[in-house]
Amino acid sequence: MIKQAGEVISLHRLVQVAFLERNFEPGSPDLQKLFEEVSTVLHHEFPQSKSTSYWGRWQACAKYLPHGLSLIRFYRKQSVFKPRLHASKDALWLWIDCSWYLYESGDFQESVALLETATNACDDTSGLQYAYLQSHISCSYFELHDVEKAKEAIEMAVSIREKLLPEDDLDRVNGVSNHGLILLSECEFEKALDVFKHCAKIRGEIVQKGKTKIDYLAASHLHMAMAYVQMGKLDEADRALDKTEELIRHDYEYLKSL
Amino acid sequence: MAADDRWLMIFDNLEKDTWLTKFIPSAKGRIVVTTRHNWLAFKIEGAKLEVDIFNPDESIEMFRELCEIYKPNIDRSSENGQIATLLAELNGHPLAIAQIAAYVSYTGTSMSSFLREYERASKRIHADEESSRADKSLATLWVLQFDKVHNTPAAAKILGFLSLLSPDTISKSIFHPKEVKGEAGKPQSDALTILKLDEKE
Repeated sequence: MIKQAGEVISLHRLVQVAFLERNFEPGSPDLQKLFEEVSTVLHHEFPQSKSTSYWGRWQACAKYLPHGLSLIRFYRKQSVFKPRLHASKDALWLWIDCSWYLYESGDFQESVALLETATNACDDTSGLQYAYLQSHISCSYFELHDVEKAKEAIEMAVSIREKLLPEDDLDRVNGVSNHGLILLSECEFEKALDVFKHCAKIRGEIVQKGKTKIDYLAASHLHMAMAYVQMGKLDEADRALDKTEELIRHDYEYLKSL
Repeated sequence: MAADDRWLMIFDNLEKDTWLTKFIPSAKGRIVVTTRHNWLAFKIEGAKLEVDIFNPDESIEMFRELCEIYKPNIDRSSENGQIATLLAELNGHPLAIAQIAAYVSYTGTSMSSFLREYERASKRIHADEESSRADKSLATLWVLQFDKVHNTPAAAKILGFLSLLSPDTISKSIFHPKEVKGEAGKPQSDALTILKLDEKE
C-alpha cells in the first residue's frame, strides 16, 4: 500500500480515502486526535515565519507546503460533518506559516484562500494567533489590490497587538508599519509619514536593545523616503535614502524580502 | 518557455477544467491530459483516447512483471490457474492488480492461500451490496489489508498519519528525530515521538 523510492514514500490517494473511511467516523474523537497529531508534526517541521522572511529557507518550506495544503483541504471537506473538526493551535500556526511561504512565492490568491479558512477556524478572535492571521491576510489582500480588505485586516491585527503586546514588540510595530504602507497607497502621505517616523523611533529602540536586526530600522527610513517622494519633498527623500543605505551597509537580510 | 522550444506538458489526473485554462502555456508544444472523468475529457479540445481496463492477458502480464520486480526469487509458475482466477475477479483494475502483486510478494503468501482469504472476505463484506465487480475487488482487497494493519497498532497509526498528507512526496525524514535544534521558542519533535511510536516498531 505504501511505496518507497529512496528517501521519499508515497501511497495512492484512494488508499488514503479508503483507510480513513474504514477506520475513522467523521466528527469522531479518533479523527480529531489524528488531525491534531498530524498538525503538530507538520507545524514542527515547517520553518517558522514569525516576524521574519523565509529568505534562504524556501526549500524547506517547499518540502512541507503540499502537506499543509493537504491538511487544510481535509479540514474543509470535514466541515460538513458534526461535530466539526477543531483546528488546533498547531494547525493554525502551520497554516499561518504555509500562507507566508505562499505570499513570498507570489501566490497571493492561494494564500488568501488558505487564510480565509484558517481565520474562520480560529476560535479565539482576540488572541495573538488571530492577529497573525489578520496581518498575513492583509499583506496578500494588499498585493491583490484589495486595499479596503487589507486595511480592515491590518487594523484588526494592530488593535489586538496593542492590547496584548508592549510598544517595543517587533510584531506590533511591524503591523503598524504595514498599516502605514496602506495609508501611503491611499495617498494619505502625511499620515503615512507620521506612522513611518513612529516606527523608525520604536524600531531604533528595539535595535538598541539588540532584539532585532538593523534592517527593520532601515526599512522604516526607506518607507519615509517613499512618502517624501510622493509628497514632492525630494531633498528629504534623498536624506532618508542615504540613511537607509548607511544602515544596511552590514545587514540587509530583511530587506531582501521586501 | 521560448517560442521555438519543443516541449511536452502532462496534466495527470485532472479534476477541474478551470485548472487547465489557468496553466496552459501560450507557446508551441504538446499537452497530455489524463482524467478519470468522461465529461471533462469532452470539454477539452484535441484528440481523445479512452483507456480501457486491462484484458485478462494484460492483467496477467502486469501482475507477473510486478511480482518479478518486488520479489524476483519467488517462482509462481505453478500458480497460473489461481492467478488467472484471481485476476478475473479484479476485472482488469490496475490499482487492484498492483496492490495484490505487492501484497503476495512482500508477505510471501501463496496464490491459493490468498485466493481463499480473498473469497472469504469478499462474501463477508459484499453479502448485500450491489456495486460493480471492480469496485468490490478493490474494497475486498483493502479490507483484507486494513484488517491486517490493525493487528499492528503502530502500522495503523502510521497509515492514518500518511492518509492526511499529500500522497506523492512524503519525505522519510518526517519520521526521524531532528539532529539540529530548530528555531528558538519552537518545540522540536518528530512524528515518532508525537505519535508515541517506538522507532523499532
